[in-house]
Amino acid sequence: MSRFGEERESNERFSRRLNYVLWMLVILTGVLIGRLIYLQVHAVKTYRTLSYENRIYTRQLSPERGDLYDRHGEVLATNRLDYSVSVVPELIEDREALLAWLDDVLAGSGYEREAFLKRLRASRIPYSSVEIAAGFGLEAVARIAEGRYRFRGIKIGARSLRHYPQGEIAAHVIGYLSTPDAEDLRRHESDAVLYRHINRIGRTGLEAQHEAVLVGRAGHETVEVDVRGNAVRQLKVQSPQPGGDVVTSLDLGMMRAAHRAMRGRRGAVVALDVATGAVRVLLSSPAFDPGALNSLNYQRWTESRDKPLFNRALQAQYPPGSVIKPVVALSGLRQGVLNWEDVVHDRGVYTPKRGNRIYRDWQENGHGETDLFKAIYRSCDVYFWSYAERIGVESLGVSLGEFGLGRSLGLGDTPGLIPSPQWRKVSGRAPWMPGDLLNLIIGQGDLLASPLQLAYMTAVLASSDGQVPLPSFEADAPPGRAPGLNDDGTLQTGLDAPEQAGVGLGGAPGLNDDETLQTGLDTPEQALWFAGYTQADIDNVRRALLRVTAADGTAPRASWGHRFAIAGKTGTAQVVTLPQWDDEGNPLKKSDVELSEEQQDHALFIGYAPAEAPEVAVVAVVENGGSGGRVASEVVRDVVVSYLRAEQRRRTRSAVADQGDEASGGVQ
Amino acid sequence: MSWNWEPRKLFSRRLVAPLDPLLLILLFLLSVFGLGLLYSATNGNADAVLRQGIFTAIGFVLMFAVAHLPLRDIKIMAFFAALIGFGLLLLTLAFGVELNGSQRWLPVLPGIVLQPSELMKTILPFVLAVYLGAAVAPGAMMSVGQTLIGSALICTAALLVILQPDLGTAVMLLVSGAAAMLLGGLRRYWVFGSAALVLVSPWLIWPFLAEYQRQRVLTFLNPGDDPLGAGWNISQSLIAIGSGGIEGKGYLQGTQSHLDFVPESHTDFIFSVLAEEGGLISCLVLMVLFAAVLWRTLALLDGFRARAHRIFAAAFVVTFILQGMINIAMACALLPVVGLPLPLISQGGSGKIAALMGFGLIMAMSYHRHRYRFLDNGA
Repeated sequence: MSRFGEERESNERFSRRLNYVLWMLVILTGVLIGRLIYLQVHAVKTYRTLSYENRIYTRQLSPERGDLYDRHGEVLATNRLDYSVSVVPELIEDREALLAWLDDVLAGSGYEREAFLKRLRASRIPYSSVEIAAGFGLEAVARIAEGRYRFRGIKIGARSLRHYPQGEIAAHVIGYLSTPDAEDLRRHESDAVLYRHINRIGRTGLEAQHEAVLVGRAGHETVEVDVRGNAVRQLKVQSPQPGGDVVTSLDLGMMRAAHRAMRGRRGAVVALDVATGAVRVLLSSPAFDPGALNSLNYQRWTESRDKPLFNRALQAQYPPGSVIKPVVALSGLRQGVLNWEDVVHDRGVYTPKRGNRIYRDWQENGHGETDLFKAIYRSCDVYFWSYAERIGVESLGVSLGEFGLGRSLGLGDTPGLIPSPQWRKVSGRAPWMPGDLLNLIIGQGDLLASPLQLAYMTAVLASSDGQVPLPSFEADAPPGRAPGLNDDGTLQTGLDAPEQAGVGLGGAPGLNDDETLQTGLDTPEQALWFAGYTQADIDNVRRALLRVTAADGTAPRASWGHRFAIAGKTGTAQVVTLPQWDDEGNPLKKSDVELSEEQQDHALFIGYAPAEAPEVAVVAVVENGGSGGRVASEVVRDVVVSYLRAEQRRRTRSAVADQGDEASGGVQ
Repeated sequence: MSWNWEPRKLFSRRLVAPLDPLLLILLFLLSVFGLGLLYSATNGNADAVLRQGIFTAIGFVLMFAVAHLPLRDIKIMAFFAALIGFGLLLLTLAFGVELNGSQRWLPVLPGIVLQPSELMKTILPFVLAVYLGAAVAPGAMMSVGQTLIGSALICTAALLVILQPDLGTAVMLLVSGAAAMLLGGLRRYWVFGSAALVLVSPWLIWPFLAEYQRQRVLTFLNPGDDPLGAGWNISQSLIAIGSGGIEGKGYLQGTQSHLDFVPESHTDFIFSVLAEEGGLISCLVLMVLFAAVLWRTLALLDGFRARAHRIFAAAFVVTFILQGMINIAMACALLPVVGLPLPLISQGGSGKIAALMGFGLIMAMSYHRHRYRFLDNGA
């Protein structure tokens, strides 16, 4: 029986020990169930959220930015697809084969093997893509798409890049995009998310002006993604609304002609439509290549002596020189100080009654017997000096203001400056001297104007009724509406005030009031400014301006090489003030002084054409182009001729088309 | 002509008699449960499920066969089982297939590999149980010599597996061996001594760990260190389990696993899939099934007279349950991730077949419980 006893003892020990083990299992089970209850009941919300965020991804869909066109539908700014190719490192199976294949298909498309390998090594996040190369053409994309089936994890991406097919021809006027800063984001508060996403905003030029139209509306989509970030399923989508295209008033043909004529010299060209004030050309030279705009080049261009980023057409201010003489003449005529008969004998020197300074005409020996007509087309300084005191600084300032000088014209242009004794006093400068008036009357001294203002002045001079809407980039009115409709034009400028400057020959409304400090004008006098100018005086001034481009005018070259009638006026902007006397006390002549290139005078020319019924007004400034404005007159000529030839071709074409219509109509 | 065919003869009472219907049903339910879960975890990969289904069928056939073993020559069986088990482990070290930095598989047929360490989970407690049942006198405790022989068997098996390296399975072998020795009459000071050894074992095992295993342990200790790297697995598993809630997201609706956020979702982390899609309720159902297997095995074991049978049945089923609990604990971030499948559920043929054969052995022992009353007493 002992055997059974031992057996029983053995069994009891076994049961006891098994019970210990089972109790352990029970405790462990309790811990597990507790853990599960904690995770799945207590913390379920947290983990639900985490799992939702894991798989649901809402992303912005960028709208395509709108295109910019010139008036004939040529593209100024558009978008180009920029391709990139990337790979998920975890999915690479045969690294050597992949690298060999990449060397093959991406040869010559900017792919750098070492840079890629470096990015590959630096990759930390599992299953995130690593860029292989970007910014190559469609051809390389095709080669990749063709061979990528052999490898896993190769992704081709595309993003939209701004593209300026015209290069530097329209660089300044189109402007450029850049990264939005805090100020931009505050200004576009409702679109801040969009701007953060697309990370670019129109910074300057038309890109900035039409930002609201061009940018479009963002869309978004909610997708379910897998662990690699691949969209598995689209849950919700709101398509982006692409930005609107903007047709502008610019004329690329004229822009090209202007760019060619400037030959990279420093300066600016502005052309306006006389009837509508529409900007046809707004060119600053030298220009930059908008496609090459990056931080490196930006700095290089900023430091360059030529300042290619500076928009001279709007931001530069020059003493306009003799180009203001037609306005001075009209001002004197309105007061009755000047008339077309009186003659001044010009020996090349003017000596004021007070003071010991002498004033030299640009023509050393003088112009001889000079009436107003000749004084305009020969640009005789002595003639205007003789009447300076009687014309007076106030009325001269008023006239210049009436023609658009001394205030910004609403395109972000500099206001320039019309000096006056008051302005001198208010700004705390040296008191106004009689000599300042003599400088002012020939457009020198403190008087400053931007090329845009001078173009506007020219357009007013050339217009039929003296009313030119403020310059704008609005496209021409659709066919059927008469061009130059005043109320349309005013609305299109986008300015608050409906008023505009212009030579009012038939009861135009009064001018707006501006900052007196800068214009030097008193506003009350402006209300009746238009009353004085007569049609006869205007016509005579225009005849004199046409004579400027004749053989005995100051700009005969403006007539070379074509048969169009161009009227205009030369001007010289002095860069440095020359000493009047030499060391021995003898009067100095201009030709006696040696000037460096950068001390050379700026050449200016304003012109309009056709002279009998002006359509386009053009101004050209060539910095350090020399006295007399000859080089500038050539630039204006080229721009005007390109416009007139294009118009001629267009008219011929439409005439032929009309005849064709009639012929086909006749058959029936 | 007489129609002599009688179905009852083909499926006669003698043929199915060794099978315990309750245990069979429970194991079958668990297997079906596993196949369904596998279908979801593999993203509806029918091939993988079919393959696992074939393994399951083979497992049940082998269980059926093993349940019919007469157990008369149980020592010879244990001898050959030990020979096969240790032999295959040695072969694996020599000729095994390497995958993910560890050499665990032995190619047997083209496209089919065997994982001998999984077979060892059944073989080792069997061999130990037979040895202890025969060597230790009834009512006596284990002698020093017997203890050393048992320990040598256990440690050799664990070492061969660690060298592959496969930490998880080695730990399970140690657990099953320890259970067998404990129930077989290990002296108390040995029990406490080895418990102390377990406490210092991390420092002993550390030099044998592969880099990725060390990483896993370190990640467990400092889960926040590298949330996108090694900590990724565990945090995604927690999200899967936690987001399942009480009722779960629905079968095949688990986003964490179907979008590949949960790694190894068909093997080590298959529990995360269950918890995400089936919620707490399904987790409890699974645990109840496991508990029922344990309960039924213990009920059978209660009738055993032979000590070797009792030791084997207890050690085997405790190890089986413990492995399931460790797997769940790893998915819940209660234990470091060492790579252990959920028994009968996770993908993998060897483990499944070995487990079913173990239960087949228990059925055989139950069937013959009256015949081998004193077998262990040196018959």
